[in-house]
Amino acid sequence: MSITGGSKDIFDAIFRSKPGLTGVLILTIIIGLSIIALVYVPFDISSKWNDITFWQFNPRLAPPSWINFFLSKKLPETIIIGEKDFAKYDYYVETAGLKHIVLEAKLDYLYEYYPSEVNAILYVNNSNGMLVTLKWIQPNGVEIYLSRLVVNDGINPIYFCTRKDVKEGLLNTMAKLGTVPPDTIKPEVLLFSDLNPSGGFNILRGTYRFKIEAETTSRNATIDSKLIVYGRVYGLAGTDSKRRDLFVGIVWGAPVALAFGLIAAILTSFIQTLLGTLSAWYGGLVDEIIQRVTDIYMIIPFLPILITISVIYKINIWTLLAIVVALSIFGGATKTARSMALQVMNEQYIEAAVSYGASRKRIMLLHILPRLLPYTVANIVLSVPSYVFLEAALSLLGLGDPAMPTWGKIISDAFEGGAVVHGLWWWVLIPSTLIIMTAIAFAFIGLALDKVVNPRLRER
Amino acid sequence: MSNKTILQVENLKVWFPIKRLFKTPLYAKAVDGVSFNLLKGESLALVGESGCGKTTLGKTCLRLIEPTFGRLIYDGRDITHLSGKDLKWYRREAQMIYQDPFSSFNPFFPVRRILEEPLIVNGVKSKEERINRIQEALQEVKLLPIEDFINKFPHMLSGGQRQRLAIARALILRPKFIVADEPVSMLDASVRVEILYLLKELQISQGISFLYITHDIATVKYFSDRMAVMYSGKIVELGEIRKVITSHLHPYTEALIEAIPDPDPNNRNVERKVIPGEPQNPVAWPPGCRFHPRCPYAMDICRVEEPPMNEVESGHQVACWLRIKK
Repeated sequence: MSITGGSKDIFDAIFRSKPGLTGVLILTIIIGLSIIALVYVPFDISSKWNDITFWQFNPRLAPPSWINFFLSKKLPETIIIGEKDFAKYDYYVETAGLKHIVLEAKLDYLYEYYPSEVNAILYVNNSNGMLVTLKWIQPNGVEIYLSRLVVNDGINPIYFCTRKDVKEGLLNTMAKLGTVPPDTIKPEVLLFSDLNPSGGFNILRGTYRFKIEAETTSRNATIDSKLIVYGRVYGLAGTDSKRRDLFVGIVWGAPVALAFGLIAAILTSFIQTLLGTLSAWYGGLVDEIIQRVTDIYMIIPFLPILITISVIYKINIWTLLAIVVALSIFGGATKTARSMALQVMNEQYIEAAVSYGASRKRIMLLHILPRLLPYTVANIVLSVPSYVFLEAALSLLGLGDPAMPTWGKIISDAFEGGAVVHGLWWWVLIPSTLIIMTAIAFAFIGLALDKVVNPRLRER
Repeated sequence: MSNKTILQVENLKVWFPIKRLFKTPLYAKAVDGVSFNLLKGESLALVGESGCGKTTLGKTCLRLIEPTFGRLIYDGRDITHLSGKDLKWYRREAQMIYQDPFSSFNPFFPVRRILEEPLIVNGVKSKEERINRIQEALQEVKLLPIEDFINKFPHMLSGGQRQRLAIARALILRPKFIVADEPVSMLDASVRVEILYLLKELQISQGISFLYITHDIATVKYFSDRMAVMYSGKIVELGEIRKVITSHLHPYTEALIEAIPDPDPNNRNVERKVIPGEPQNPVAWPPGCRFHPRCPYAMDICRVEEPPMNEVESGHQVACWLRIKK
């Protein structure tokens, strides 16, 4: 078997064969995702990913919105009524010394399914306490008295689903209409249901009105509001239990996974090949030391060491990478490269180089290492998926980077969030599909390259 | 030692240790006591069967292998145990041409780079000078037109062209001594003589001393002035080529010459004398004359005592008890 082949052979093998092309295609998609990450996610992901307020306007545990494509009853998207969509008027009553502010928003709700949550946020300024009355007027004219509360300056979130007075308001309205209330009071459902006795709690489609009446003693006081009607689907990849947009995480996971896998694979393959070649070319004591250290490295248990390190130090993804590389300086490729270098060393041009006076270093770098290049390239390509898997597996074991969203981390979160038990398929399937796709892409390219490295597999 | 000698080999021994666990190592005595002088501008043919140690001897003369015993004196300087930087000047003086033209080039390098490497390594700094010398060398070996070849890769060349390239690489440092290790044995018969004539031409025009290693006596006459016959790590006969071939003195030489294939179909039914037996084991040479197990004329003394090298007539030496008058 001869070890021949250059960069042209590698190029041909990848782009002229079906597996090679398929691999490149999948890889291009993943690299495309990485580029999307830069455009779509302009913020600093590692500081925002674990910031709950950043994701507060997303629904919780929503599947991706493209599933509506396959459903006859469309699931609602999130509707946000911003500050500017509120009609606002205020007046000051001199005699009473009271300022009245009225905010009113219209909401067209045309879905055939209830929203998952309804929240309002009140932004109050320049007041020393403000009495606020919240009202909800359904399309059929039924007015529900939601709440009456005192709010202070600042941001006041009001969660309709958990507030007692909202429930009471709903019960009062039903009592007034003579409707027997259902067993469980779910505000997000009842707010959008026909509450008339004959209505049967069917969903009401049409224009809703949300009204805020505020009273305060300070003349300069202002109030603004935001109404969020959380949908049941979100984005391209859904959301997790912390309302995070999984598409952001997945898109960010792509460059991280590729960078982690490629850097680890390139570094370990090159170092191992170099050491194997050194071992063969210098022989003697150098050979003996490198080979024995390789033997020891190959039986060192990887996981316990990583766990120990992660217990002592705080690990982020790049220190994890450094540890993985450090633990793979010597490995299988050291042995393979040594045997291949021994084969190349026996060729006459090496001796010819000695005979015209080339130094040992020059012969190794110029005449031996390039001959191992096709093998090294194939080795890199084939070991990328194993490092991507490794990162995912380590994340699943809780040894990953806690700040950075990686595919492994998302799966790990899904696992902890009980995604498998609760059928939250998008949370698990999308990141794992991408991991598998990456592995397949590199495996295909590796298969194509195998024909360069191993001439016995050549088709012609 | 005369001024005309370029390389003097004195009782050279090259033993390769065979390591054995918990036992003293054995030695494969590839070259076991060889002495000869190579004259300036001379071509000495070293003939012998496979495994007789002729390639090892050639490589040791170039100091690619460290000799175990004996002395190597090149142009008055002892090079037997030089190493590293001290040997660098010798690397410029002495070159090798290899048997296999297919593995003697780095497959990643084009012709230009193959020829440039020795110059770079030996400190020819100016790029112009390197290019000039490359063109000169290609002209010398008649790889013409130069532009056609200079950017080709070795795998694009034919066997003969590659061997010319190998010669060009050997010549580019303007050496005074070249070891040609079976340079034509892997070439087509049609190309062989061409390459040998080329070598002869270069030897005469540049005054290079050649050690021409071969197993094929038929090619020797085209190229060599003197001939040494090697058997089992020793030189058994050494002399001027015409004398060795026509009036050979050693039974092994006789057998070798007898074994030259004859293209004349009239002689196809002529029974040839073929020496019986196999080459000897280099770990344990037979006692006495090493050829005695296969020698048709073996006498009692041959089995006991090694024959010394004996000058039978001027410049014609042989190591055989038959030729020693008692």
